[in-house]
Amino acid sequence: MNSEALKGHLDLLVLSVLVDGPLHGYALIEELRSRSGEVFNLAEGTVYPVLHRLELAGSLESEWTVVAGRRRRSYRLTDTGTARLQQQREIWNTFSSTVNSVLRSRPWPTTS
Amino acid sequence: MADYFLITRYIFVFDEAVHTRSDAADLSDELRDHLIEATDRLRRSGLDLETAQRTSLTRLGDPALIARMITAVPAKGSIMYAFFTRGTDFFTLAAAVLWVASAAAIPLTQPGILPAWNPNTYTITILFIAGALVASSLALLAVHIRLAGRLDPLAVTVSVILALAVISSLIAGWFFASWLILLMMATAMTLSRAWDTPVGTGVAARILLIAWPLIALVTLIGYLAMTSFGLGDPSPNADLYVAIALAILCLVYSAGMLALRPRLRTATPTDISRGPLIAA
Repeated sequence: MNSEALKGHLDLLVLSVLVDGPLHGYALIEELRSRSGEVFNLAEGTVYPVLHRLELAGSLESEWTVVAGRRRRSYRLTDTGTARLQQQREIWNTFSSTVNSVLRSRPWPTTS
Repeated sequence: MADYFLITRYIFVFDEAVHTRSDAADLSDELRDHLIEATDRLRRSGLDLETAQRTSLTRLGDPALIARMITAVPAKGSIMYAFFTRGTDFFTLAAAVLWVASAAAIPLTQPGILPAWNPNTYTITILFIAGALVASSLALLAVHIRLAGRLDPLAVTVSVILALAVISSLIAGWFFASWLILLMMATAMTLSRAWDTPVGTGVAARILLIAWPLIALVTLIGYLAMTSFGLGDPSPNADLYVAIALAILCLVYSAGMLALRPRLRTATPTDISRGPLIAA
């Protein structure tokens, strides 16, 4: 799946991945790729604006450490982020179940 | 230690694009760590250093594009962003109120319309208009700051135009064409930037980008016609026409500011990952 298809869902995905603990940008992208069974193949640079925006909104906090002689920034979910994740999950569940019910309401067209 | 020469060049280009930000060093360090981590992982899978670096750089994306996307999000702790974010409601409301006050006071600027005219009433009206222009300027700048995340060249240009509008209203308020044309330019540039965002759609855009400029143009052309384009004797009704037309313009702009208010309240820096469902 390409980045276009992920537009609008990255916030939810990023917050979901960070539920299990703090991660730095590259690890987060790898985790996202791994959890999606290699389906979500992101343009990696698009993740950083999302992380920064979520931090600005108070959903994430970041801290710097030094690893192998270079600075590393890791992100963790805040209480605000946890609440937002819960809210976004509910919105997503409602949305996806509604789409599914619309798709099920008519049989798929058959090709001759 | 490996020589990450391609990563160094990439970070150099990225640095150039973000060097004006207060957190430029942090941004570069973050991307450097990402690229080295990705490169090292690829090398462990058997790639040579150069191929691993090229693959990592390709996956991260064009440095100029990444810089644009990242700088669209304001630096944490940006005082200017906080000022415009918190002040949005006040700026738009103050502009709306002051434009209504200006509309009510405009007949006092024309000596031939109301017997109450005197130099003091004229001065008060001009101050109302200048105040409305200042508040509107702050509201328009808030659109730029909230969408671009910083005072970029377009925002600076609009700031200069608006400053000229305020100055010309104070110095030569009677020559309404000067500040009106400048306000038209600044408003059009601002709403055009917001065209593809929630701020630049709906009633606010229809008022400020279409209805108000059209009325302003009709006002200007009508005034020029009534004053015979400065070549002949002006129409005796020219002052009355200006008073009515300007009052309408002030009221329409006030409505535009009120319509912009709720849209600006929710606007955040443009981000390509932002979609209709998920919002930070």
